[in-house]
Amino acid sequence: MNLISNSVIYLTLISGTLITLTSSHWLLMWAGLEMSMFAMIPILTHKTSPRSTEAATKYFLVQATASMMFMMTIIYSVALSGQWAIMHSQNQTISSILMLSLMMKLGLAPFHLWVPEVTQGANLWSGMILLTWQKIAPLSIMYQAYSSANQTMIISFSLLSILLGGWGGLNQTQLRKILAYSSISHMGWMTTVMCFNPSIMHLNLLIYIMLTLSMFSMLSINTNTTTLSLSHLWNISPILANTILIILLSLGGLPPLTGFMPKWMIITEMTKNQSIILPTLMAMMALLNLFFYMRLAYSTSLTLFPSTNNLKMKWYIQNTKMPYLLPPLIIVSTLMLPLSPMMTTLE
Amino acid sequence: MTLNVYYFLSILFVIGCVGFSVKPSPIYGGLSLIVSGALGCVIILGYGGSFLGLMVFLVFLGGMMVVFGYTTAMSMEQYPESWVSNVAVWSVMLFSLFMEGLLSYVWLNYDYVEVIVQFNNMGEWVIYDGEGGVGYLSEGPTGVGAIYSYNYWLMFVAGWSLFAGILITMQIIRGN
Amino acid sequence: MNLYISSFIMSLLLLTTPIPLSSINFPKNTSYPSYVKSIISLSFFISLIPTTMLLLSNQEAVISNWNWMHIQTLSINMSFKLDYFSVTFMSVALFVTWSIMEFSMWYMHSDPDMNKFIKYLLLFLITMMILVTANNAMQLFIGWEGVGIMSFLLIGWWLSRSDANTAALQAILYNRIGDIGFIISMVWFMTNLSSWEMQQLFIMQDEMNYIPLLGLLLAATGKSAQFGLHPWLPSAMEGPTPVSALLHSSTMVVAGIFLMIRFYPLIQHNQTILTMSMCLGATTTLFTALCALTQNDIKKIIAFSTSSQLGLMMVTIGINQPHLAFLHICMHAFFKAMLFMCAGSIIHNLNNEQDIRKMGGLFKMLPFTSSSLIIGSLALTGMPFLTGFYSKDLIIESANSSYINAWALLITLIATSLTAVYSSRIVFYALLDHPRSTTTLNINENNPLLINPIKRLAMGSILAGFIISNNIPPTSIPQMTMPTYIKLSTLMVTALGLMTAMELIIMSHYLKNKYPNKLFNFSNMLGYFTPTAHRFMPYKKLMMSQNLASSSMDAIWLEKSAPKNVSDIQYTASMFTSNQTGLIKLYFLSFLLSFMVALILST
Repeated sequence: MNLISNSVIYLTLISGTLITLTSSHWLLMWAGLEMSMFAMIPILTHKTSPRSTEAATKYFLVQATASMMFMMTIIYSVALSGQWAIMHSQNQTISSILMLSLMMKLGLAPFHLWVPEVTQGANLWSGMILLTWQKIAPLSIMYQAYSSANQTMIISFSLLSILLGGWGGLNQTQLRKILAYSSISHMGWMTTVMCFNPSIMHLNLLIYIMLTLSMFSMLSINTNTTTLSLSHLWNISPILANTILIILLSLGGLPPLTGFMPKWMIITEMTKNQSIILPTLMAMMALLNLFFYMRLAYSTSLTLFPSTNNLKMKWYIQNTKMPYLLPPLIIVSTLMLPLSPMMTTLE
Repeated sequence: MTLNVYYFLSILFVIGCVGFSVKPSPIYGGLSLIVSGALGCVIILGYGGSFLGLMVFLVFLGGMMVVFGYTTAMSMEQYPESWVSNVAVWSVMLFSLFMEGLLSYVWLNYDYVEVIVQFNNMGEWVIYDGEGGVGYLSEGPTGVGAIYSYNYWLMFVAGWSLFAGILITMQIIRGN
Repeated sequence: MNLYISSFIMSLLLLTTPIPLSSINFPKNTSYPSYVKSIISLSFFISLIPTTMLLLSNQEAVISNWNWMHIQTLSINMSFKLDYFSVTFMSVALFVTWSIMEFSMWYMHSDPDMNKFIKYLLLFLITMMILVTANNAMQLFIGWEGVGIMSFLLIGWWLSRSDANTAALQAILYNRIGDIGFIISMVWFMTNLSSWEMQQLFIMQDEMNYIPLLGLLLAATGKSAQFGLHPWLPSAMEGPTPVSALLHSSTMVVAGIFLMIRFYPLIQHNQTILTMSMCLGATTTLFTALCALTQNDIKKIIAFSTSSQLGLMMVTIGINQPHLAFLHICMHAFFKAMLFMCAGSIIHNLNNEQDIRKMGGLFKMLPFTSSSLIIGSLALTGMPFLTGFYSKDLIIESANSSYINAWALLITLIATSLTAVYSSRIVFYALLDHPRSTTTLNINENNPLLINPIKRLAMGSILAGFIISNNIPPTSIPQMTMPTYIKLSTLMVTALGLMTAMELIIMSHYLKNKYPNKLFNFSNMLGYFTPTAHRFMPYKKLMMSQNLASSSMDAIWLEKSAPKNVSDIQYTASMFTSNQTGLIKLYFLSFLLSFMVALILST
């Protein structure tokens, strides 16, 4: 892939999301979504193989279906209201279809099946973009359109995705799939709190993106894609092994770390709204996620996986990749909890 | 009377779509796609969208020529699978036609089918501009004008998208 | 009068001198065991003074030395009772222990901790003396527990052998059951009679009910290895032979019988307890005699014979003849200690071989041991005018001529005839016939440390019965006139047993080995008592507890229902929801279904 096509592709990817974010016109919004969608396809097939082509095809089909539904709701709402501005539709069916199409784009529960498959099919870098940048545009549309949506439907689908994200991750040894399932769960947390306080959804998205970025950057230093290869990390880079432990705990939402902040705020917000059972259920289902994070941390950092003597010298070989962004990312994704008073003022 | 013609055309359009979606051999699929595409353009023309209908037909002609040629090239078998060569395809076809007949029957008898919007407001391809004294205008050329004047931003995005689309397609096909 | 008490106290105090001496620097040129032996012999000779005075003038005394403490109305004193039982038993025990000490100097000469061993034996004796001379239940209890703990230490002497440890634990555990009985009695005495002094208890015997008496019976059952709590006694053969000798002759096991004798004023009018103890004794004596029949370990045979004799003593208690029971204790001490010493001599000379099938022909190689063993066996079976005769004959006669349970009598008679059987079996297998041992043995019994004690005890086995039974006080006189056949019944059953045994042994000697039948197994496996009591019941109990505690409580409630259930549910759900996600058809199926359902539900 040369520089020109690369720059066109990434420009389209970024500008698509930005157009969606900034536009106040349904058609442009749709166009931005489509742009970032098909700019994603060559990124997914970055290293062409049957597996990556399959992933790209799946991604294309699912996203195209979702876009079609999205377009349909646009046409209907234009037909009903006669204008293209983003207005809250009074028609329940249109709002529901809109939300469902966006959920499909995000990979929420009943439509989540493509997320692990596509992430697994692509390489780490593409997976990272898929799980971080591609979430921004649909969530921003949801942010603008949530108030007309059926809350019961959204919350039940979100709970389902938290649960299925947890269950799916239990069954995995592939790191990209695990992160995909973790993404499904996190999306569930975000869309749940969207019905109560959408600013916290943004905060959660921000922190989730940072955590996932640091996780993927660490994995891509040695191109670890399985639990087994991660288990050998202590021979190669002991510091990284320990850092992965902390990032995983942060991803699981354990208190002194950054990952605790969104969960804390979500639970606070929901209890403020007299919803007790829901956050309890969510916290319990988050334990599933925590379990597979812990399992990963256990095999990576808490145990010394047996290895041959040659492997034990690998730490001596200097890694050529210099992830300059990693140290600040790690700091941000672990130590930001004290900043939570400041972050909460975003509300 | 004209309504009845378009009504008949739209029934044919749906039959074309059904014929495509029950998955016969690609050559027949391409055929039904072309037929239903052309029918769709005719329907748009009939409702007054002369410009749009023509444009879509031209674009479609170009695109579908390629698709049809491709599907013809792909279907190398001696006896390509048609709609009647397979019981499943045939029964699905018949079921779909039956469903369409049912829908038409309901529509004809009760004159009212609503899913989200009613199917009775499809004839609005003209706008009335009273201020400039122009009177009735066809919506197609007006829309084109609007795009090029104050909606140039959308035009830019669309152009860029087309460019990127071609580039990306080439990129994917080329491989690495 | 003063001499009676002071010599008695003197002999008791003398015994304690080696205990503190062992912890200070002992003179190098004196050997500690021989010192202890001399002390015991000295003590024995001093104790002869009160014994002689007792036999001469039949005088008894109670010494109240020191008031220990008052608990409300209960006062606990240190007081000694110098009656017929304690004084006689003391002499006998000291005499026997003197011999055993000397014997153990020979038997344990290679043991690195010999001094400690001797000290333990001495402590064992001292605690038994405390038990015997105690005038109140508290003091008796101290001796009782001391005997128990010392037996534990001595049985487990070879502590690196797991069998020895098991046996020691078994002994202390069974004794603990007996101790509970004794404690129940003491608690009852304390709460109801507010006294632990013997005399006061005996005065208030009319107040007694079954609880303290049953407690005493349970205590005696545990300590004297009566049926039900008997398995520790054969297991205790894991200890060194001198320990067995001491344990079985003059200490430990007779303590239970001695307790019954001591408290007989309480039980002598209670017919139920008497019947119970008689039936218990009869069962014990028959059962253990049966078990002795098929044992191959020489020490185990002797141990079972002890147990059988203890059953006989219990029967004697049951027919309300405590003096006869006491007489049998004293007689038994002589020949049983000697039998164990002979066994020790044989075992030592055959290089630690205890199986009688691998002995044989020892009457040529160990003439002195053999003759002593025969004397002891004959005394045990009740050969006329040997020691055993004087007590056993009297016991059987009194039993025959009293109104007792015919069943118990019959059982006792059978057991008596079986005594002859197993005794002759030892003699036959160990002494007669050809040697079956390994040929490279250095057999030598010409050591004065071995010869002298056995010699003394052999003299005792022959003469002691005559002397002691001549001096038995006529407190409970057995019937003096009876038909000839009753008078001769003891001898007859013994002779019958002997002859049958000889006949059977000789016959079976030339037969090919048959597969052991059920009866043989019953006897050889000790009536399956040990597997039943030690394996089956604890196993069932532990299994039940495990099932209840760990299966139902831990496994079901704490494991299966909560964590395992949760994990299984998650596991199954995870497999169910996230397997096979690769088909794009499924994506759109799930899309179609959820879309329809969501639309129908939401609009």
